[in-house]
Amino acid sequence: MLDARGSSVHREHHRISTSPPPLRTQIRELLRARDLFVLIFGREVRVRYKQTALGLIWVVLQPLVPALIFAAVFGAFARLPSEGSPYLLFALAGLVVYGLFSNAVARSGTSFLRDGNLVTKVYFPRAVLPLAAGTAAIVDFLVGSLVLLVLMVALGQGFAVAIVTAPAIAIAVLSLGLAVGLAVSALTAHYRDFAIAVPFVLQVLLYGSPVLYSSELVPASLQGIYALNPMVGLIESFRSALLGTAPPSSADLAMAAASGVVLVGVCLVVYARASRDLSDVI
Amino acid sequence: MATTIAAVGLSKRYRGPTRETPWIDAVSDVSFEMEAGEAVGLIGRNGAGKSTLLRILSRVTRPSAGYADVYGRVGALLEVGTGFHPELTGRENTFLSGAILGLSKRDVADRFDEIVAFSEIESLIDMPVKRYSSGMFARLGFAVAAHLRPAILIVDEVLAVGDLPFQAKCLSLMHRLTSDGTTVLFVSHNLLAVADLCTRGLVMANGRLEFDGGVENAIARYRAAIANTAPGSDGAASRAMSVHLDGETRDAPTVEWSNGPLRVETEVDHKPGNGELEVVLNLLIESADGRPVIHLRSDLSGTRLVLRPGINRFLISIDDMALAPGRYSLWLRLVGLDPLAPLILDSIRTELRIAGDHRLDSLVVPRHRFEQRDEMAGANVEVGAGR
Repeated sequence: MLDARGSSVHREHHRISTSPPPLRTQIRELLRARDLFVLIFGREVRVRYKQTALGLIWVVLQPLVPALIFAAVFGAFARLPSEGSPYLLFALAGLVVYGLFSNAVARSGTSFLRDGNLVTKVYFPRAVLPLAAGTAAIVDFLVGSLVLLVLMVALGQGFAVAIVTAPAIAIAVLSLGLAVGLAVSALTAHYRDFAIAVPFVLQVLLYGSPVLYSSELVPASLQGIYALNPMVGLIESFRSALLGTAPPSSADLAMAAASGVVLVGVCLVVYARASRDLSDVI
Repeated sequence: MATTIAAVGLSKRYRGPTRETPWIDAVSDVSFEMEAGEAVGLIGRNGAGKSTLLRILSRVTRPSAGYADVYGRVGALLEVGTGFHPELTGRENTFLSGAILGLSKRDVADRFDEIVAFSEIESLIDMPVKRYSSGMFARLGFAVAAHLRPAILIVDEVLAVGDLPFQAKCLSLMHRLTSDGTTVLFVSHNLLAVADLCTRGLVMANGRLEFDGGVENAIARYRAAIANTAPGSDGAASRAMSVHLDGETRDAPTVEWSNGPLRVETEVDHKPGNGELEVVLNLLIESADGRPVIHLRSDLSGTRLVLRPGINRFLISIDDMALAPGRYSLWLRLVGLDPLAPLILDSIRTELRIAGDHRLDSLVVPRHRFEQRDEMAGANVEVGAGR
């Protein structure tokens, strides 16, 4: 009844000791858990809309309704400039790409809390949980992008060649969101404060990024600090790729790349440290 | 036989809740080895450190000291339905739970029919598990884990949720796994199941491994330990209670007994300084898994017992025990009559073994007989009388 892996022909040896397994082993185990990743990803997507009467309509409404509200308040009433595109498209593009980041952070950040019971009852490569949960944000992103494309056609917006770079930008945004989400997930296991603080911070960051307004409105004296937020360069690049608005300056882009890489690095180190004794703290 | 687990000095220390108890040693310096095909029962009271030890061996948590070498894939079931999500169907959860427990999607697909057949919920496999009864939930959970085909199967008190036929099915499956070379480490408070499945027993108390040896001895050790910690056993008012079964003094922890009449005699040495005390003598017979089968109380039988200074002799007679063959524990407990402060003066326990054929599922077997009537001849042709 033993299978090939359990038989005495090839016996897997594993040492349980006081120190965590080396990083190489951990990464190898993570890569081997692809099926688990896919299943948890599927679960995240399915569970969210199970037993809902509207199902997929919710996925469409979620980015569209805020975009319409913001278009009314900031576009029609406050008449914020939108770099030559209709404000609705301008805001929706920003919301869709910012949503990818914030959903990824929010979903992966709470994953250990939601599945704490799993972490304390069974061994599996822990990082699969926040990574798969965070990646589920891609579904909302894709539906949101589809809504955006349909509206672009409906409103007679032209397509630029640069649109082919949009997927790469989305991958960069998702990676950033997953890195932050990993760190948040492990920190939340220790301090529940993060579960309360993170949605709040994400809300603040929405207004700290050029989602609903053009970065041209930011005073020149603050532009240096403003560009430290890696989402600034990413949102502007994404919107430029889709709507043909002004791309970020190469200086801003370099700034976004540098701060993004540093942020990812810091988050991974935080995760590695904070996730060591997850099952004891959850 | 090949070693599958070699644990050396495993310890787990948790941070304590207060400054007075800065840490708690859940597991202290536990060492043992296990071989392929061995079924080992891990027993001990709640909080003895069993679950923590299993958590270390299944890599859920890291030890604070010591190490263990594990050879082969570990399948651990520390809770039934690990990873089940209430909104997902049985089918979806089977794949998810399988993946969490370490199977690839293909492995689960290959064993899916087997898993579903074992769980006996074929018709409901595409229903969300939140609509399952707790028994169905447990059956599917165990079925997934049991079909992992690991080299080492770690099972923590998960049978308790299923009904008796399913428990029997799980046990027989684990039997089969061990005969195929799987090492099984089994935690249960159901000592009958432990005795049935395991050949070796580990007894834990206060985080330490107190005993490692044959399962019968392990269970006896565990019971003796429980008896010694029974509340009030250190009551100093009376001492030296001993039991005589049918005139013979039994010093051995185990008593062989054929069914039928039982006479238990007990001697209690009551210190002169304590005066007279009205008492209630309890006789309790429990099945091997701790269920009370017989409970007799002197007060309810209308007998007034008084403990006087010096040696007191009490006698309990049962005309017919009517117990099925098997192992039981016999308790004698002497309690003060005062209902507000029922002081336990003494309590002793003896293992009682009723000899006979074990193939009965009940605990009680009244005196009875079977007959076959032949109406034509008007006479009994087959008579079998028995207990």
